[in-house]
Amino acid sequence: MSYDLVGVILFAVLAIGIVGAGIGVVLLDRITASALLMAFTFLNVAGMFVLLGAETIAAFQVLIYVGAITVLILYGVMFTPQRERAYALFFQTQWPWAALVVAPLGIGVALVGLSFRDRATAVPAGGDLDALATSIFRDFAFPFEVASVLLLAAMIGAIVLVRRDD
Amino acid sequence: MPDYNLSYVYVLAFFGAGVGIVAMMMMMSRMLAPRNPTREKLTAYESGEEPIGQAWGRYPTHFYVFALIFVVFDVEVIFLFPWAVLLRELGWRGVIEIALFLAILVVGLYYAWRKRALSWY
Repeated sequence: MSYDLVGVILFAVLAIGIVGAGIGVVLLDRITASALLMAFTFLNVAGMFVLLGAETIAAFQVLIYVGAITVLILYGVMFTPQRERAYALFFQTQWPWAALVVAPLGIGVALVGLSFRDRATAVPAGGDLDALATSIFRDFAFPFEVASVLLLAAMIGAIVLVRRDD
Repeated sequence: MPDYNLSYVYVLAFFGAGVGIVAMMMMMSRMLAPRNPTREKLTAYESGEEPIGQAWGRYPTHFYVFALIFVVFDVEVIFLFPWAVLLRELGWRGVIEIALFLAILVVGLYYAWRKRALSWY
């Protein structure tokens, strides 16, 4: 079996995982199940990064999205009073507005996706860490430092918001 | 290129071995262990206490700070990885960049410490 075919099969499995879990996130009425399915979607996206030859990005995707972001979402669920936790959100009163926002976005994404005609060039083997480090620390050093200010703001904001009165 | 992709076969083999060993152990436990569940045995174990209420409870919001500090320093570690791998190539410029990055985040950690956001109670 050729490598091309293996790549296509893996892509199909990952794409089904992403779309299927994404639909599950919207349709399920248990919000914790939705959160965990979202983590599964992120995991499949990490698989996509591996297929693209971006192993470092895939590892970071697992660390940040599958790990940290999912933890934040689950914490958010656990802070909500049980009675106010969302059940059966799908197709409630907001769906025409949601359709209005999603339709142009979806059409735009589809158009851009279909506009690619060339076959993608082969990814150089050996990982993407060198290229990534060069672009972070050479080309985008200032945005990198600004990112730390953003993280600082998030941390201080959370501390101020949930401060205990004592 | 094929040789490089072939190394993922090892990853798959490790993954398969991991799943297989866990499945085998669970199956052996299912087959060998005696099963005699009573109502008492099926109650949730909670440090020897009688479980009260549901696990599906509401948590105090100050735990959110722990989650967020974890996320912030998770992201920090992400940036440390590429810097550490290319330490020599990046030279002093990389050291200064990462030191500035860490210094800004340490300000937040100091703030959290002073505001007692790091204490569990």
